[in-house]
Amino acid sequence: MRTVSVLVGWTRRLHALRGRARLWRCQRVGRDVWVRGIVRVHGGGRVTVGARARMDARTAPIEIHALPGAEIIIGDDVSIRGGASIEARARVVIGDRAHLDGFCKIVDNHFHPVRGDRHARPESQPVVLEPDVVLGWRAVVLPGVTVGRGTFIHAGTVVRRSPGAPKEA
Amino acid sequence: MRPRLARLKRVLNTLRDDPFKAITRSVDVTRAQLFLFGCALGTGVCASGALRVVGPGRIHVGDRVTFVGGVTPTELICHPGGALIIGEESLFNYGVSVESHGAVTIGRRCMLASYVRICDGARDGPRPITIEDDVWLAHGVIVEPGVTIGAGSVVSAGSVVTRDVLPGSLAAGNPARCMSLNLAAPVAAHTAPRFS
Repeated sequence: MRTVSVLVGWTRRLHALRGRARLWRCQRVGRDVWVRGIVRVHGGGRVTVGARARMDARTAPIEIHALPGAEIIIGDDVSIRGGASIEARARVVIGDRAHLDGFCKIVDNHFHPVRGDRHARPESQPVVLEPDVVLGWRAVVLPGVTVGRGTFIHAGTVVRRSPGAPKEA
Repeated sequence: MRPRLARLKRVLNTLRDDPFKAITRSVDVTRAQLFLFGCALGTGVCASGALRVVGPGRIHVGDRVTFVGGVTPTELICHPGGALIIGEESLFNYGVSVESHGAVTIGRRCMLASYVRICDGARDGPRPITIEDDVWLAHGVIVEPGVTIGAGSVVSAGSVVTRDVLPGSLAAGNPARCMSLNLAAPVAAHTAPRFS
């Protein structure tokens, strides 16, 4: 029994080391992160990852893109699946215990205006995912949205406005 | 000879002003030429990431088309007898997948965001897809066979376009519905694509 617990402990420590190595571009990485596959952290902004975060990018790479001056804060116990993409020009906050499913997208900027010069950059509006949010497969969260605590967002949904808080206590 | 001289002058100017940018750009142009070997390629096509180009069909890429790199390669597939035509100054983000069995035409100055999927193959044979000039397809848009998207339109993120989109309108949803938004002449003050 003792051997098993020692083995489990060492595996966890090895996973944490590997996670840290994969997330070396992040400013701060919490304890016991678990990372498989490619996680592409780029852009030169500030990225912090909380403790025990799980990133399973074995199916497709995960992209965390914080442009200079931007900040992406990922809370504790967050799990992210392959193909998910988080892009920030200002600020994106993902609360504790949130789950981001495959190929979902969080952006805090529309990147192009609908009218006028398409290559001008519009203003950024921060995005906040409160704790215990579940973001489904291929869901898109658009700028300025605050997703309330414990909200379940189904696969393929495009969130334009902040949805209401869940009814159950 | 005259246009060649002008091009040389432009290249020399860039080299003087911003040598690093000049080097990365020439690398991108060379990469595009390698990936798109055998296609009808315009001048100044650049690819800052991987491309996957498949098929014996006719692929035509216009001048100054940009393929932005990212986490997944952009895919251009052209089956036998198919034609895939991309207009000048169009901008492709990463993970775009364009598949042509018959005819797919993308106009000038279009912008295709990440994970856009365009395929003209239907069960009863291919139906041509036409995307006119200055169209912006946002993240994850799917274009169904036989659709025409009018000039200057915007299709919002995650939409599935099953019917034609009128020129200068905003389409959204699954299936995509046109909103009566007059976006006509959207890019009067068009500048060269820039991205960071």
